[in-house]
Amino acid sequence: MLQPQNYPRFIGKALLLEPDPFVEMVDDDNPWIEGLFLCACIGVLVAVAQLIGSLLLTASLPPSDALLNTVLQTLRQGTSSGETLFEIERTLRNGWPLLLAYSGYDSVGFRLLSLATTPLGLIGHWLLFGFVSHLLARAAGGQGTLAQTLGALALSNASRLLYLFTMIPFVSVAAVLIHVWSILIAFRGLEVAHELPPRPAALVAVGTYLLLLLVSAAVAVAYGALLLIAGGSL
Amino acid sequence: MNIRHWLPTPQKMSDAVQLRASGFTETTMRQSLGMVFLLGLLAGFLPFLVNLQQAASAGTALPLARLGAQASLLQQTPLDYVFPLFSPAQIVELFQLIAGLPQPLPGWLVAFFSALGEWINWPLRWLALWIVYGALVMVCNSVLGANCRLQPFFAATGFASTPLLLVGLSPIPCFGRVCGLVGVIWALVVYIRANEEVTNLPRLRSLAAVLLPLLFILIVTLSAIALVLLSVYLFATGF
Repeated sequence: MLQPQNYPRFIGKALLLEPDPFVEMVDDDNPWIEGLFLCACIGVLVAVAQLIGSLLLTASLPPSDALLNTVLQTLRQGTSSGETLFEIERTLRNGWPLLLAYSGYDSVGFRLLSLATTPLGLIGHWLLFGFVSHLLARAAGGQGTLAQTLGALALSNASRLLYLFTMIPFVSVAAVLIHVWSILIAFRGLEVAHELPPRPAALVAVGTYLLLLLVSAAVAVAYGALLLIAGGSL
Repeated sequence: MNIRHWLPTPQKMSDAVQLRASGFTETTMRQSLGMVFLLGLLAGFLPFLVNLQQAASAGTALPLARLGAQASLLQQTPLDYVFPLFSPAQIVELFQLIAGLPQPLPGWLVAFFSALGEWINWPLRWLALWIVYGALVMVCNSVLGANCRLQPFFAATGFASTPLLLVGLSPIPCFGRVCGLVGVIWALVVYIRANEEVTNLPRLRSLAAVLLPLLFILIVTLSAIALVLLSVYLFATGF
């Protein structure tokens, strides 16, 4: 049965790497449903915080068009020659929307969209991470079921709640902090869910993360190559 | 919520910065987390006031106020700045233009938001340092034969944030820089002592476990810089 009233306690204890929330998750009658709902809640909270942060950041800075035009104008008056100038301007114009979307500056539409994509992305990541780490944990001699693994690993998203601070404009949370803390929590979750000794549990948590990182990098390179081959019109 | 659950006693902090073994025991990870966050906030308070004053006097966001200040600095010493795409005068003009662009919110509110954001970044950076560097040190500890759990390790190493409080004095000219340097070195010493205490490793091994991640970070950083420079070179020469 869903127990959202326990989530703040679960999240707090998971961040402190205590075993209790993982034990409760594993012993739940439907651990994966509980995990799914927890991931969705975290995703929605983070997306709302980022939307508010984006609105405040946009209102705190000059309009992005004015900023880009000022830079381009100065560039045109600069010392660069015709072709180089054209190339720089093209790169800047192409990269500008990406920069805006990444920073949340003048990209409220994108942030509105992320109200749906952030929870979905988080759930997708959790399912993939859970599935791969379950396979690796079983190979390492783990005893847990897939549902128990998913339930325990849902708590590894607890560190993403630090993104709530991005509600305040100009706050930046280091992605490396989120990922490393997630791996530490996942390690504790795997230890509990699969009753693994510390070393294999750590290897499974780090191995899963590195494997997914490698696959993401390969996909990004393949997409980049396709983009180059298609002349940027994909 | 009891504050004693979230912070170690001042006596523990005092013992830890004096490198006494008793300072690193009987503390929970929760107390260390609270201490790192609170000390990060305290350290960031003086820089917050300075940032707020700088942004409020410019009537704009802190990054733009800094650009404006940089422009004034460049005007005073234009020859020190070399940039291939613009002349120094154009850089100054660009910075001044950007700093002068109007924003929708009133200047004082933008100044407050941006200074507040910078302030909140202090404890977040300290948390990142504590967790990420700690994870790397734990890997080294494990390789070097230590048998220690994560929670006591993080509980003990959190005390390194106590001398780091001195870094918060950095806005004070000259004296602040010296205090910052002293704070960083002192924090490193406390960290090494905490690691030795919690892992029971011999001193040299404990030292190696704490310093090896620094070497790793240095190599990764240099590789990243080399990669960026190579990309810029390839871009500039048109492959």
